Formats: sequence, C-alpha cells, structure tokens
Amino acid sequence: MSNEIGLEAIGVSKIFDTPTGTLLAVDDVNLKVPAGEFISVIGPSGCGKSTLLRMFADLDSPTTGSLNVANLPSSEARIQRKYAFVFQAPTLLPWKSVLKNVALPLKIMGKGKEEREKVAKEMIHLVGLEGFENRLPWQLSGGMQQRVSIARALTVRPPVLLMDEPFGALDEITRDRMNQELVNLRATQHQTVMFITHSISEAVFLSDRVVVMSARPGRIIADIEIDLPEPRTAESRLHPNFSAHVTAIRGYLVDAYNAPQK
Amino acid sequence: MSKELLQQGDSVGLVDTPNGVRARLLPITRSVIRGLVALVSVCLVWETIRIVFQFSSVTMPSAWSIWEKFFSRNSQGEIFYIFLAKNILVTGRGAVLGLLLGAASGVAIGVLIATNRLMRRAFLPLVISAQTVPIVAIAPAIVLFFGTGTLSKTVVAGFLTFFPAAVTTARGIQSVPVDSIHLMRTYNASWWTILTTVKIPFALPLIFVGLETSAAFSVVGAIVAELPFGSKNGLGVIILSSWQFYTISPQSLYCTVIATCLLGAFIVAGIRLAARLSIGGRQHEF
Repeated sequence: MSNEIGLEAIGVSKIFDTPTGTLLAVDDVNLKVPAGEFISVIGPSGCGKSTLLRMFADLDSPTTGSLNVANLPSSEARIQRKYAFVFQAPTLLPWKSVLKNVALPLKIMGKGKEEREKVAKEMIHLVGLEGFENRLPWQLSGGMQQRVSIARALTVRPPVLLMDEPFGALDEITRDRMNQELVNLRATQHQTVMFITHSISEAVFLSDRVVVMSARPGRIIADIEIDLPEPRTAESRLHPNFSAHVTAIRGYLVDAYNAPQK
Repeated sequence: MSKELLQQGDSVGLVDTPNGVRARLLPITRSVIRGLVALVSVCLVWETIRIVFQFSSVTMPSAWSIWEKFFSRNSQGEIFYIFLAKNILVTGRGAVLGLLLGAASGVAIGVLIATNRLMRRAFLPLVISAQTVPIVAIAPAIVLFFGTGTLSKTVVAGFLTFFPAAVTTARGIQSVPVDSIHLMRTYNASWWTILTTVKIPFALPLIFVGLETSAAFSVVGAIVAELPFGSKNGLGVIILSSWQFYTISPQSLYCTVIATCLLGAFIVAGIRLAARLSIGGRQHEF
C-alpha cells in the first residue's frame, strides 16, 4: 500500500496563451505523493496551484509533462472516477435537495435509486447533516453547504480527494471546525488528499506535507514535512512544532511574494 | 416578555387594517377585483379621449356600444360573442401549435448556439436576420405553400416565437456557473447528461421569460397567417371584414381585438402555469 502512488507530476509545465502573450503558469513541477498522504499546496495568487490541481483532475491539460492519479494517467483516473474534486464554492444544484445533491455522482454512474439513497444517507451522516436530507441548499449555512459538497465527493469512495480552497469562503471559527472534521473523516478513510489553501495554519494543521509555490513562473520552492503528533486535535495547534512550521512557511511565502516577476 | 406581548398585540391589530382584510379574500376574488379596476380604468381613459378630441361615434365608438356589440346578432343570426369564441378556437389552435413548434426549435437552436462555437457563428446571424423579415409581407407566400388551414398559422406563429426562446435559452446556458460543468466532467458525465442535469435546469427560469414573450407573439403570428386571401375562419378573417365595414359597425373590430387579447392572455397564463409547476419552488434563486 505504501509503495502506491497517490499523485505524481513529472516535468509538468503549463503555458497559457493570453492576449498580451504567453504566460508560464506552471514551470517544470515534479511532485510525488504516496497513497494516503495529505499534501497542502500554498502560495501567492496566480502561482499556478489551482492550475496544477485542475491538471491532476484532467480539467486542464499540461503543455509538457504528465500527471498520474492513483497509479493511472489523470485522464484515465477521471474516466474511472478515481478522484473527487471539491471546489471553493459548494457548487450544489440549487433546485435539488441535500440528499439528491449528494447522490448526484451515483446517479450519473447509473446506480439504482435504492443504492444511491443508502450511500448518500451514509455520507450525510458522516458529515453530520442527518435530518437535513430534504432541505434545499439555500436553506443551509455556508459551512453546511460545503459539508454537503464534501459528502457528495465521498459518495464515489474515491482514493484521492482534490480540494481547491474548500474552506476559503468560510469564517475562521467555522473553518477551524471544518478542518477538524476533515481530519476525523480521514482517520477512517485514508484518502490521498491534495489541498489548495491560502491559510498557513490550515495547511500545517491538516497536512503531512506542505508544498510552497512561487508565482510567475509557478514553481515549487519548498517542500516541508509536517512533524506533529497524530491524531491532530485542537491541542496540535499549541504544539511547539506547529508555530515553528508556521513561521518557516511564512518565511518561504515572503520569498515567494518577493520572487522576481517575469 | 412584555415586548413580545406588545408585538403580538401589534400583529393582531394589523388584521383589522385594510391590508388584513385584503389578505383574507380568496386569491380568485382578488384577481377579479383587480381585473375590474383595470377594465374600468381603460374605459375611463377611452371615454376621456373621445370627449377631449370630440371623435364621432363612427371614428371611435363608445365603450358601452362595444360592450353591447358582444351580445348582438350578426348577419347569420349568431350572437357575436359566441361567433368570436368559435374563431378564438380556430386561431388559438394555430397559435398554440406554433408556440410549441417555436419553443421546441428555439430551445434546440439556443442550445446549439450556446454550446458550439461553429453553430454560434453559423446560426446566430441567420437567427437575427430572420427576425428582421417582415412577416406580414411574406405571409401570402406561406399561405400559398401551406394552405389556409392550421399549418400556415403554426408555421408563421412558430417563426415569430422561436427567437425569444432561442435567445433566452442561449443566454441562460451561457450563464451556468462554470464549476458546475467542471464538477460534471469530474464524474465523466456525457454531453447529454450535462445538458439535461445542469445546463437546461439552470437556464429554465430564463427560458420561461422568453416563452412568455413567445406566447404573446404566437397570437400575432396566427392572425397574420389569416390575413391573406382565402382564409374562412379565425380572428384575422374577422379583423379583415371589420376593416371593410368599419364605417357601418366599428364596434366589431374592437370586440375582435378584445377577443385577441383574451386569447393572448390565456396562452401567457398557460406558460406561467407551466413555469410555476416546473420551477415554482425556485424563487430564491432569482
């Protein structure tokens, strides 16, 4: 199991054609994430971290290089639904109930109604939203909506989770609570996670490893193993290593912001 | 506690205000009252114009004489409103069929325009220039092609109704949040699944706005198709003969116009009902 690769990028570059010329958004990124690892990517806006995530999801294709997800090329991984993507916005269908939103992936896969509802209810239970199955998204708070979207991601039981600033729009208290819930969820499911964030403390709290990227061109400038006792709890934030990691990453981020802009 | 009681007392007090009384009336009674108010207002404006400009009763008949005309007998001895009702059915059939044709083709063209760049380049100029065709001018040709029956009405009404449906469908689909489509792609959903699960449902409120406009156009289309030679029934035919006999009986023209308005209102109401049944629970989205 530990030899398996969760995510792998080999010599990945991405060039965008813009009206003012070409833009090197991602520059020769090499990254290997063992199965079951939680990796966060942090960096200034426009450093290509979301682009990198979208390329893993096969929503965008690299200009050079190749990407693997769960030991498969990313395009094949998408077709076989080896990953689930969580967006910054909950991206729910506003006219469908919580239950139907969570069951949507299974419906697209052609599963029967009974199985869909059984699995969806299980996932709704997992994210602590029992009793809200028949509500519509607008009747829920932002944090609850994002929980629905995480439940939806979990219904396909993906070995890999790709999360693009999923808690970016939430207030800090809700965000801390969601962080803890994500940790608890993963304690039983052990998915490989790639997590994009702007928050240093969120990255340190959640991750086994944090990657710092610089902008233009988007490059990996630091790759830090997070050394914190497991399981992660509210206590983890008080651990001396926590603040040490936060300080170190903040230093790298300052470098990333000061990097020469091409 | 006392504050709560006070608020309760306030709301109880509200029930006796005119607002409260109105709230207790049946919705149907309320719309009847509203309709009567509108009718009386229109009659008042009508009569004011007649008096201010001193129009003769041949140029502009009185509102009351138009009302009376509905209950008079025509040359075949038929009461006029019954005669009108029969012709409303004839024109209405063409209008409704044309609306269905126009809505279906409009939504289909809207989908193509919104989802395919080649189609957008090929179709959009065609769709827009089609709207500038003076339909009254080519109506005789259409009647020559398709005869004086329902088919011509359906074709002309369809031609007039597809444009609002196409434009609102295209615009609605283009405004679907891009992440919703990306989400579907991560599930490897097919083009058709994405269209029917996400794009069309998202666009539906806007599509219905277009269909309401289309519904009004459909009646105009059906009547235009009745104006050329040869048609025997329909509101358009009555309008034509009313033109000829305007100096003798100007009232019949206005009666027919009122009948046309009723038909239009009925079809628009049908679209609204369909909208309420399909997207009625979604007001919070728009």
